[in-house]
Amino acid sequence: MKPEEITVVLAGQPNVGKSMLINAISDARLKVGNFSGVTVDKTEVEFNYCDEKSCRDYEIHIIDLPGAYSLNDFTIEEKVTKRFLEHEKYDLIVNVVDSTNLERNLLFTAELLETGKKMVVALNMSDEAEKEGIEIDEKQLSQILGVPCIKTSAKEHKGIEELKKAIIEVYNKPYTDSKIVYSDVIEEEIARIVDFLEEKKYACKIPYKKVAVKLLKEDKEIYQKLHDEPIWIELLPIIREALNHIYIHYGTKDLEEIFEDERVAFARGAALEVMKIKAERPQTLTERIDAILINKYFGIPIFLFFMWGLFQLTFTLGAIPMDWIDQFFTALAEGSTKIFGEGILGSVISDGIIGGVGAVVMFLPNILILFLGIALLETTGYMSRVAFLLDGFFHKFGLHGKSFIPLVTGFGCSVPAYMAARTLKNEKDRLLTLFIIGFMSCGARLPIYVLFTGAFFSEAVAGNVLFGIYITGALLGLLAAKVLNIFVFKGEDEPFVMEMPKYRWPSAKLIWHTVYTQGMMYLKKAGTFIMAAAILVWFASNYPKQPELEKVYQSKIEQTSDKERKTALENELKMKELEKSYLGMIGKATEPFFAPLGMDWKMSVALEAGLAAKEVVVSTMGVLYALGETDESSQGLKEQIKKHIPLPAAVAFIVFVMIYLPCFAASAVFTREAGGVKYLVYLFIFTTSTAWTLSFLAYHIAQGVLS
Amino acid sequence: MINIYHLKVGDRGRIVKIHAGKTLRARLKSFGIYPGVAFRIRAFSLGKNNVELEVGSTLVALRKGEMEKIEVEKIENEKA
Repeated sequence: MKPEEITVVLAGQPNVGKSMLINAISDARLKVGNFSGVTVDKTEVEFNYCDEKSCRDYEIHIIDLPGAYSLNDFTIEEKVTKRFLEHEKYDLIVNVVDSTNLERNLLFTAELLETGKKMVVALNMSDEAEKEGIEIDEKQLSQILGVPCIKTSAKEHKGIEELKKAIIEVYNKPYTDSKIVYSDVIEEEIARIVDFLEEKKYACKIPYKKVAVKLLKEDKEIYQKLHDEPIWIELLPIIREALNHIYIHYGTKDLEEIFEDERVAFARGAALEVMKIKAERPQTLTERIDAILINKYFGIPIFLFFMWGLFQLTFTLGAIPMDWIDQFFTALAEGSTKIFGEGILGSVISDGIIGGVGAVVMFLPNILILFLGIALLETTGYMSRVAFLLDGFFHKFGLHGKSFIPLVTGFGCSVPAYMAARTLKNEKDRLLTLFIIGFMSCGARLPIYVLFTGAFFSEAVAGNVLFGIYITGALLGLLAAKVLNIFVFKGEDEPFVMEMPKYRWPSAKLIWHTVYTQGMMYLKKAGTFIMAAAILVWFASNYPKQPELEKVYQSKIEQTSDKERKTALENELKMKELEKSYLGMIGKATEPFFAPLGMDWKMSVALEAGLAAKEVVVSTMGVLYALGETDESSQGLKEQIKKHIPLPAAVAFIVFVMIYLPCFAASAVFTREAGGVKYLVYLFIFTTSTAWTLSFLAYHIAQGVLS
Repeated sequence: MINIYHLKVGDRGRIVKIHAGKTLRARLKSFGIYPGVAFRIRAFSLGKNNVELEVGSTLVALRKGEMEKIEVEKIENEKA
């Protein structure tokens, strides 16, 4: 027999452990996708369940809805959740509740109950509640809410089976109306309307009480339906009177607010009734940690120390596997040259594909460490503390404390950073943040910095220089925000209301999941986008062929017997061939634009290739500089760069890379998040002009200092 | 009228009225902040730009602008 399919949605407020719970429910691989139309993460999981009592098989499909404090339209997550609950098809809701925060969570539960769907409440984090001395009578709560309430602990894997069982039970039972009790005033009016409907024996599919509630809430649908029926004439005065009573009692005519207050009272009453707090609550761990981490004076230095540590770790620890990867790809390139020969095929495979992809994969360790750090900041709850600490500072630049989160993510990759900017509801705050995310140097720019700092500075200083580059970029971004705030974006600030979640020990599973998906995303980019760009760069640098030039040099090389002279001639030929290639033509054509920055055509080509993806800058430089390289044992690209690029030009190059337009993929995401191609045009003009100007200044200052 | 901005770290208070538009009021409500609720000031950030409030068992951060919109009364500590 085919298993019966059940679609379950997981709804709850943020930080209630929904993702942990979905992990605990099924160890099967999570499917991570997007909600249609928007890029809010949509996590889904499927598993089978066999009900031994009735011997039925079920295929349960769970969709994790984004965390929402209420069904308002305040954040994009709330919008998505609201829309999904109202318009999509599903069988029942599992409302995940934080047991340590019952009252506030029940407010959302009350809202969900009003959707009129089958529901199960998971009282999650019950282990933590117990530790805090909070006792919840789940049976009584089930009575009050009229839906089963199950104590669960995703962390300790408790109550998961019971939750599954409850899902099946509720699915098989007919829907019973929620038991929300309103205040006496409203209940009285409801009773009056219900009485009238009963007297008239009005034929209706939905229960009378629900009709009454909907009428009092001025639900459009029910009005439209009743409006065309004979009963309407008699019903109307009753409704009018009922509403009048309510208005007088509440002193407002805002029904939405009246019902909001009703829910508040309901949640408060329910929490009070079922919850017992044993003894005086001792100072929680969160309080003690907060006393240090958000200390007025130590908070920010501690945070900066963490960030500094993260970058040092990225640089030093990451260097070890980088060496291995480098060796592996060098060996692979050599091997493929042996197999495919030194002709076109061999060249495209070893220089183009393996060289290009190798340059990308080599920086995977750095990126993984960086993403690991960011994931740790997020899952422990420290990220919102940082937003709290920094809001006063960010607000001065027209940004929001929450801008910090997308901005820090920007250090990893601009793509998720642009998406993270969605937590900013206010259009102005969001656009402003979007525009300066590029100033936060992404992980893909790291290879360029590592290459250049490694080439010009000793290993001991390189880490500090790298840190300096990142800090300077961030400061420039803030300055840019201020300028944009004054001249371009004007308007009201978004109110700042943010939960500070409890500190939590990070779940290894969740961290692994984040780092893994981010790492895969980077590699996928390497496998497709960057490889295509690498091949393109290889082609552009090898064609058109110069047979005549080759002939002249070949004869020259044959004539000389001096070994050193021979190598020099070979290198010269390669240089000349490159200069005449498509790539050289592009570089030459745009050289005047970059010349005032002290850059030659090779550097301009590398920068232009970087518009495709920042990772390509390094691989392009590999093709451009390492071609003349015959000695395999040399330090490679770093040596070449040190030899060919003067320090002032290198500084100008770094500055340009810090500021100019992010890669194709990021630009595409930016366009979508900002809401139109015109914003991309603005961004291009803004970043290019800023990059050029500052690069120009940096070049001349560096020249002045060094001479 | 005193508002949250006038309080000190460790002070306890009760919300009297929220002088704000509907959206902000609804937003605050979903975090458990509405008239009648007791709270405690947990921390201020540098320059009193932001506050960390303890409302029930929730910790909520607000900015100076929001602090000034929330009218409160101070609950004096009844010492044993």
